[in-house]
Amino acid sequence: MIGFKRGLSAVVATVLILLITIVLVTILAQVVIPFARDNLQHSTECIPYENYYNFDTSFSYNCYSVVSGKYIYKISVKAASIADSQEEDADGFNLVVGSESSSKVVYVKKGTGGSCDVGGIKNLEDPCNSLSSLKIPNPGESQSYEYKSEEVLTSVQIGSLLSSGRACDASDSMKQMPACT
Amino acid sequence: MKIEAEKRGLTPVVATILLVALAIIIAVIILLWARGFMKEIIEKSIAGKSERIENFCGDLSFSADVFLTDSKLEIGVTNTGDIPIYGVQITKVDETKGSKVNTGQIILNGGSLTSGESSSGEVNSGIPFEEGDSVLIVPILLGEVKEQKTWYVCDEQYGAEEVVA
Repeated sequence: MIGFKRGLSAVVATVLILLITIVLVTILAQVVIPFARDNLQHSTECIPYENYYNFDTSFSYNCYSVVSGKYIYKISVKAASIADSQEEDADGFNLVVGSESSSKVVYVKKGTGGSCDVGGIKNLEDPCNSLSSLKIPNPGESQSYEYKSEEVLTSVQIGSLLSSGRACDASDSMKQMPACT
Repeated sequence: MKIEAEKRGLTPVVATILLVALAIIIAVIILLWARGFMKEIIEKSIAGKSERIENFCGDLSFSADVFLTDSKLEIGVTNTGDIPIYGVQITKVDETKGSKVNTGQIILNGGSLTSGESSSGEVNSGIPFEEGDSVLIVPILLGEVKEQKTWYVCDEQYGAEEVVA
């Protein structure tokens, strides 16, 4: 008996393959590529800010004084020059302040208010009885801050905060600061 | 019964072309992705010598005067070096507050202050200045990125700090 084998014709098979390819490409373009792009963007958004904020040593700060048993740290922060388009992404910075027993993160964000309380930070120029919003240095600028602590700080690190909410890795750090003269 | 199977597939030539095409597509995708976070280099050419623009900042030489005229800050700059200066960025330095605030930029002599030339400009930032204030004057150079003119502010270490007279 001779087997009677039937299947798809070459034309129909080609059309099917083409259709499947088009569907796959559409799915790739609509779902996979935007998903991958967004995730890659998040993974690289800190790269321009790797060395953006640094401690400014051109002033006679980055030191502490003791007032009423509390440690008042005066810290100068400098923003490097970057392209204006990137500036919009920088929302401020965070300071990771470490003492012998603990460490904590102090957020310095655009528009947030300064504080003279323990654990609070304010612009150096603002008196405690008339605190304004924290000023963040623009590219190429510097600002100094006053941070009140109950303990001696053993280290301070600074890293960028982006408008997406992401906190980037530390771009600069200081060990124990000297007493202000 | 013996059925002769008809084996058909891609020829080696087509397979090679497909592989090469795939490799090219992947390389282009990686390049486009990586280009987003690569910093573009600004170049400057002087006397046929083309270099990264930041390398010229150390060779700059200029003198500056800062004075108040009708309570407005005026800056006079003389280029004492060989590299043309496009302009200057003015930063107010306050040692007590521990702050440096940009107050504006001045384009000198239409954007090219050449050797020996002097030019002056006024700062219109709204930030008040007084006699005795410190001002940091940082030169700006004109360079190129992909044949497109763009300016570059030198690092503040190449600037000059002057006191308002």
